[in-house]
Amino acid sequence: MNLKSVNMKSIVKGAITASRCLSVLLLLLMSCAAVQAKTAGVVEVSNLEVLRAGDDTRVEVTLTSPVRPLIEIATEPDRLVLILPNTVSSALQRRIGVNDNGVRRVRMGLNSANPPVTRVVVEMDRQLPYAVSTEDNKIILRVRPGLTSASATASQSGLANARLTASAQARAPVGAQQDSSDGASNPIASLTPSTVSAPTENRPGTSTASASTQNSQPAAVAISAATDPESKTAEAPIQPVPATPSETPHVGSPIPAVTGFMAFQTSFAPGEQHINPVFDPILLVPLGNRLLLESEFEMNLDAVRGDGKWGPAIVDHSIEYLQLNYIAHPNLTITAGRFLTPFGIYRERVHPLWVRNLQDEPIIFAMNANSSNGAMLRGDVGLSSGMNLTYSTYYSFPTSRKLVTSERRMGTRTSLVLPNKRIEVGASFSRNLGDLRYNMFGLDFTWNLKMIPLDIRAEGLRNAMLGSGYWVESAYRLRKLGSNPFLRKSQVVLRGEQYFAPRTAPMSDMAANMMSGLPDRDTKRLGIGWNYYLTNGIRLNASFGRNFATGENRNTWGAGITYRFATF
Amino acid sequence: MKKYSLCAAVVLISVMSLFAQDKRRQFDPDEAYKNTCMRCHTSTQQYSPRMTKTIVMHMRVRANLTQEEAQAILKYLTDDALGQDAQPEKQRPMASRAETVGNESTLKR
Repeated sequence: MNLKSVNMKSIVKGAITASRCLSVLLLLLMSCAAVQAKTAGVVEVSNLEVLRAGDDTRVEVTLTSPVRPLIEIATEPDRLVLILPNTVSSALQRRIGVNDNGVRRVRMGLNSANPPVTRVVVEMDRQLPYAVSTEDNKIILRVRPGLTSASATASQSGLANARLTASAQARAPVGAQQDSSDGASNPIASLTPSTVSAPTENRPGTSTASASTQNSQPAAVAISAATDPESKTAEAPIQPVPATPSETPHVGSPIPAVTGFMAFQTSFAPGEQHINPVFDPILLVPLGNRLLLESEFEMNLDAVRGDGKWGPAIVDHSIEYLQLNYIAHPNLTITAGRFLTPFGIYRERVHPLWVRNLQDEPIIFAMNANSSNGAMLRGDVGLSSGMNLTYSTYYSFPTSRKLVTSERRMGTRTSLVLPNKRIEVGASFSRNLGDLRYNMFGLDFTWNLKMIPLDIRAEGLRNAMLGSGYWVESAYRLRKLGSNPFLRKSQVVLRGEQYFAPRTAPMSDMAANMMSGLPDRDTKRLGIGWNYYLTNGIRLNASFGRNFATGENRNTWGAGITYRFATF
Repeated sequence: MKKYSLCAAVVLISVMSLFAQDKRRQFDPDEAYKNTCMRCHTSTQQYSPRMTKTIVMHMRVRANLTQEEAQAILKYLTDDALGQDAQPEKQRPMASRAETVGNESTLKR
């Protein structure tokens, strides 16, 4: 009896255990089924191929199942973004260089892991007509440069882009005809993806349209306006170009380089004319991947014509910097030697003639247009994904040698940078520790707007001994106004500035000498300029300025040419 | 006292930077180029990859770029050159870079 009861107990226990195991197994099976059901809907990219067919560039994406793609037109730079929802793709972002028919390259990557979204980006030199079609599991994006003017004109703004896409959708049948007329095509490159890529974010200035295709039917949609269906030509052979992942490029060791610029500037003011040829070579000598020796030598001639005759021509030359940089840490660079004093943005960033927007320097630049001899610590720290902190702090020894003069001073500049917003806000401080002791405070601001090609720069400083002032400058690139090459290569600049002279006269000759580059009274100045980029390395510039000061109201005209060079 | 305060501030900033949590961020090469270089430069020329590396080193110091930004920019500037042909140290034609001023993409950001 006891034995029977024991057996019964063990049977019941076994049954309970078995039922528990069964439950767990069922749960597992259900989970697996759920996962299976979930993953079953995910499509994979099995191949990406870029081909050339006549003047067209065809981007063919082969998937494991049909997907309804979205097409997005992005600007700055001009891109077509093929968005593949619920699609997983390759590991590293993959790239295929094209550089033909207005297409620079094609890249593909997983934009989002959950939900999976893959993007294929076609980078273009300019806005180009396009067509998207699907054939079973294949999505074909055709880019056609043949009729650029209409589309380029139509795509000067995001709104126009949207219109372009909308009109494109209305012309689906044309695309079907075109797709059926494919001739032979030459493969440029293809790749088969496998893993994950760095995600890229959507940016302003884009418009999206859905390519409403029937997945099961070969169909063409989203043909852009005014495409030419008969634009098939004989195809020139293109060598396959390998796709490259987006990791750090292996370009070998850095080599020495000589760069710099030459310029010829002239300015006119009532009663005087200046002619300024400038030669400014920069030598860069890397010593491995962490050490860089760099130097800039500036030589300029100031020939003045006044009272009807040419006056003395003054040659000014100096070593702007001769420094050794050691990248000690990703966030720290140690600099020793002679360096541009890091105060504000003008001295370090924009004072070279090929970088500055206006020929004339701001008035207050005379207060910190100097170099320092000593040591400096500087670097950049990423505070978050969208914010960096930069710092530059230095100590300078006094030097009286003509080419490398400097004062005893110390100072620092720090700034917050929002790279994605293209905004930087900086604050500077310097303490002069020489015979004349004074502090100087400065604030600076730069903002490069994304929506319109407008750059804004501003700087202000306060110096108890030399005065204070500010300047605000904006530069607008005219490329948004039309596709005319003249406009695309032009930039207009406007600057307003004000200087407040110290209320007391200089206490010593030294102070008076330091103020020699500054007005002796409160001054306002308005400047307007135009830059024209003749080629990549040659810039023409013209400017007009109006000076407002008691007894010193006058106009100044300027013009010049700057040539930037680099060799080794 | 002021001097000591200044020195302390300088040292503090430097030390903070060394110990700051610098998250390894990935940059899109295009974005890195446009978000940093084009804040001051309207256009760039294209040089050999090794020379470009030197210039990027120079700009990394001058513009206080992060290591990741510098790498992404180098990638951007050398990508086409590495994929096209073998002219290792010779200056390449300007027109091959989309950001150059001589072609349709003039003054592009």
